Amino acid sequence: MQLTATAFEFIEEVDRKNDIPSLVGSFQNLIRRFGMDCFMLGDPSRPHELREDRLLASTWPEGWLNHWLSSNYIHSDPVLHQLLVRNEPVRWSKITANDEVGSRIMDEATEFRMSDGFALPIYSRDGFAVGLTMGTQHYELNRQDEACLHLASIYFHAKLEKLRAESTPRPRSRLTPRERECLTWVAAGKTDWEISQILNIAEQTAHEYVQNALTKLNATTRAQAVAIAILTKQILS
Amino acid sequence: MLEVVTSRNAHQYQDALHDMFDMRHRIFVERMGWEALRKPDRLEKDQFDNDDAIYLLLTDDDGRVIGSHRMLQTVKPHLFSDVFPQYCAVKGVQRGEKILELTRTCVDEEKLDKAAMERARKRIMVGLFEFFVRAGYGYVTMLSPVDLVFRYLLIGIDVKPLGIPVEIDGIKQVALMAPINAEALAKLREAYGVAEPQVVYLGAPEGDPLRLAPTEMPQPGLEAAE
Repeated sequence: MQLTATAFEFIEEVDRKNDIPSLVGSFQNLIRRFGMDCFMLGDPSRPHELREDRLLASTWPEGWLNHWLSSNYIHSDPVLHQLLVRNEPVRWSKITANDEVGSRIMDEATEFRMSDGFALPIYSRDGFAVGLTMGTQHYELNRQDEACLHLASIYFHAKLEKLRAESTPRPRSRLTPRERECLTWVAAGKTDWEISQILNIAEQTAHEYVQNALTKLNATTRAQAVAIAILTKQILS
Repeated sequence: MLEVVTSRNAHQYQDALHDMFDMRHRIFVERMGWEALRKPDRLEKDQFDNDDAIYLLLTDDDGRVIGSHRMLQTVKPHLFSDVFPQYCAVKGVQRGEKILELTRTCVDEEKLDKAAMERARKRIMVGLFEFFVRAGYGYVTMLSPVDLVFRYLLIGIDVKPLGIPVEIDGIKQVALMAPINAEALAKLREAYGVAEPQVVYLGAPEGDPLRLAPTEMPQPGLEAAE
């Protein structure tokens, strides 16, 4: 009952969230209460048209998200495949990968501390299924918890869509060479301090370059900025 | 048109009500397989189809019934209070003068082509909201497929769960409550492109407790009554 109350509190809280980062932050807190470490919300229904606007939000480990995107795993991820086929919430470990790439993806996810997880389909505005997938090392959800997490996720996604629609779509400006350079090092897993050492600039300056890149790319996390920059071919994967 | 039918004007709607019970049987029992509702006379009717029920009948240009809603007053026995209160276990069964429970919403799939179905679905939803606003009700409670929650939210209908989703006959359902007011009606009219008023209440006796305001403007005193 504790988790049920948590999910219902989140549903109330969503009403008071007026910006995307704080909404994403509070959803991340919610899934942690449910024992999940991170999530990715994206649209797997048209993998050939994967653009940055189909990756709606993510707290996946940066290394994993970059690897997953640059390896084109969206085509073969067994979890996403299962969502599209069955159209209902599913626990990762109940899925058997039916090809080699699929098994490899599941194995590699384990290396990023995602040995199990929960995924669910949500209808997007234009009727396509959107997948929300959450990873964990310790899966402890029962049926009731899963139902509550599913419900809360719908409220998260609906509010996210609303806030995205409200934010005026400003023309996305290109990254400067310095911003691209810093973001490339972010993609390689470097911290602001490490980047500052490599480029021989102040740590604060490195931080600002990265933050500017995030703003320009309309990204909420560094991983997302890297993903968008790769997808829009502003940095190399 | 959406016609309001209560026990007070039902004498004018005997054939239409018969058609509605027949349609409900065809749709809920024969098409959707809710075997618990099956009746030997093929009229889907239960203990809540009594003098307190309020119906909205969607009729086409020839006067045929092509869709319906049943609304039950939550201050009287209704499904959430008497049949499945467990579906509202988190927030509790919501009862009040301004709250109606919505059940048995359907559109006649067998009589309509795809485009007509789509239009009927939109009209029956807009008509429901219009009825609530003009009759002075403020909230609806209902059991709804979980998959629809996202769509309600996108349209701007502020549904909130009353309990944990449950699986019923293979479909995940959740008890919901939503405020219905002039603002929500305006949003729905815009989203669905149904601009004109739809609802009429004909043949009720003088002094009938159910009155429809002529316009959709919020009625004075409604908020104070909450």
